[in-house]
Amino acid sequence: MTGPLPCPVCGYGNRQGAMVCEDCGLSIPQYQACVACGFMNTADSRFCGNCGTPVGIERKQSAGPAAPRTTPAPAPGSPDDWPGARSPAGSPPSPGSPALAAGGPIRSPAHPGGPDQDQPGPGRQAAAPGTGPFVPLAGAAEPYPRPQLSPPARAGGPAAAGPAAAGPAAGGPPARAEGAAAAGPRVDPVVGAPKPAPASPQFKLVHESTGVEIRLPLADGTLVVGRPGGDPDVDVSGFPEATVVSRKHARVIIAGGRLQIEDLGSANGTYLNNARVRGPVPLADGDRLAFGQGAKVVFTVRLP
Amino acid sequence: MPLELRARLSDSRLDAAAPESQRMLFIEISAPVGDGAALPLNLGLALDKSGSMQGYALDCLKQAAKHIVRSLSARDRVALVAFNDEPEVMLASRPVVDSAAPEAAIDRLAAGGGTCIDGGMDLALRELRKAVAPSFMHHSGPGPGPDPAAGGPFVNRVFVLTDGHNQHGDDDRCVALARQAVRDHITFSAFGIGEKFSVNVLRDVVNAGNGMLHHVLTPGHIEEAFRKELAGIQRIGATQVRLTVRLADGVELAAKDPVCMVSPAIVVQEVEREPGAFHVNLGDMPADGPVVLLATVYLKARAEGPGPVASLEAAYVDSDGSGRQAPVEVAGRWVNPYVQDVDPEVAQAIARMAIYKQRQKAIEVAGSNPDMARTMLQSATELAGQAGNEELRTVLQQTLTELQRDGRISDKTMIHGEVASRTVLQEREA
Repeated sequence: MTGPLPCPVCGYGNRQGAMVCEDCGLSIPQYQACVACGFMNTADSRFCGNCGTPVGIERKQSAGPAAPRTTPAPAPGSPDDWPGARSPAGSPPSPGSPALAAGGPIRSPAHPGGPDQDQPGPGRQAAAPGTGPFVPLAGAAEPYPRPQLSPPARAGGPAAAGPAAAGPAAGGPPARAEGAAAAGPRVDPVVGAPKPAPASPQFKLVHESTGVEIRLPLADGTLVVGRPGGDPDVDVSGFPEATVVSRKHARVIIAGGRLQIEDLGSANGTYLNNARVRGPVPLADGDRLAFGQGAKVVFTVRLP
Repeated sequence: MPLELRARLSDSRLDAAAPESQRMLFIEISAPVGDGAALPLNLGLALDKSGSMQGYALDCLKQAAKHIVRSLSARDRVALVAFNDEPEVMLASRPVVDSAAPEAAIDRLAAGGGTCIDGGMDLALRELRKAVAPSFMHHSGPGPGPDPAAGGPFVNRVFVLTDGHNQHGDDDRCVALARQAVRDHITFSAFGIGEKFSVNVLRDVVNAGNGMLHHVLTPGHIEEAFRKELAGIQRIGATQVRLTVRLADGVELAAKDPVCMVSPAIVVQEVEREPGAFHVNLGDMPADGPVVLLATVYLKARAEGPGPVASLEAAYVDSDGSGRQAPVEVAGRWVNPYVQDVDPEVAQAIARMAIYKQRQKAIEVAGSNPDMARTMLQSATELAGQAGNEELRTVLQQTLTELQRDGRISDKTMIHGEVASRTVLQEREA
């Protein structure tokens, strides 16, 4: 039962190169190091999530059978502990980035002040419970970073200093840093919508490193997140390092007071609490939503 | 009637820079749409007449069994065995001339006593074997075709029905009998009534020959379940389907449970290995949908460019004798750089297989390694949630709850978990 690649769940020793555990069927996460910066990207990334370098650079043929490519340095707990995975927190917004609103308006909700906003939003809480913190097999080696499915903020779990807590936007109303607001994207991309009263309930995506808020309407509809060229409803090209975001990257589905995210076949993926999602999957308050992997374009979800 | 055979890799591009890559070979085999010549049935009914069946349940069962015998054609054969702690042949295997004699035998059913499923299975198999011509016996794959004088080939099927645990029998013997039966190309369809039967035994019995497992929530639904199953097997046009996969140089089959059926149900397959090839006996070819298999293979690195991976063919027996499907080739392309791009349909099948295997493993180790059982169930629950299968997610969560609270899993949760994870046909109120 001991092979070179023990399954992180059942411990079966799989052969090198295994993508699916032979014994329990688990899909074993695959990684490859960026040739430029060494960041461990998921194997289906087309661009490095850390530095944006295309993966399309030829690698040397591996010499021996023990190619370390698919096994990143063991990192107990959070994927944020892998080399290169840390967010360059506080990196300045790229100068001259176009105003967020210029890329395209959020497709206008029919009646932003309508009755939807007054409803308590059934199921907002129901969307929240996960399956609890993933309990690793006692005594088992932990050779893979594992997506943490419950954000530490809600789980109160082992990783108290998890990604959500680390972001400047976590906890309390996100401060609209003066500097960020001046140099970075505009704050309120809901073009044409009347400015809501401060206390009115609203979905928000709070950009982690700048604190900039994107406000989403409560009315049912879908919003494409992306960059110019993809006709996005929510244009994130104004945020720093947004080149990892595809033009049509993902969409936010608003239905019955619930929020869901669905990846639209993006090159670098959509990540919810560090787990890759294709979706649609429900979003809960405090969730950490990243477009492209790594901590480049990351938002904290805020539900009313 | 030739079969349709298709196959592809989970990701046809392979990393030329990695010493070895793992792939799933996704294999679909189907009977062509349209009315090929359906094979006659050699059917046995092994019915539970234990005390718990008394009254309404037995009335329902008689009704359902009569429906079956009335629906058979003159080409078919039928046998009837009833069992409690003692099995009894109610009607010896015979051609269906008319339904009067079988119906009279059904009317003689009376309930009482305990339950010994293997006793009923054993007698039913003895009856069916009377019609399995010697030339079909132990016939697998290429070789002499069926003897036309024997009146076959048949679809050989036993319906085994029970509402309880095998208290007077031997579960291992049930499974052993089912495995022996497969060698004579006899398959079981199982019907579990209510929420107190040994679902794992019935599952293993049907899995031996890739038969179907029906969960019948109340006796009132027995007839519906019988109808559904009979309609399916009456349209089978090919039997003794045997898949052969030849692997190209540098391609190897995985060591552990390498071939798993994912449709119509999730069943880990018995594999016959030989150097550079493997075989899987699939039994009867369902008429109403493809058989889908996942085979795990490892491929050694090659120079960049296209290369052969596997060649697949299927042998079968139909009303014209034995046939063989022309080989289907599967190729890959070795590239550098490689970017993972798993076929979404295959990824979905892999996830379903993972949920099933993880639940199975959790149940297996629940007594000896509760930590691993919990981890497995958590992982399966998450996968079910990601797949959007709320029914499955809920029952897996319940399984975990019971395991942690009671240290065991109730019959009801065991049955519903098997139903939801395996794709068991279920008869219940709409």
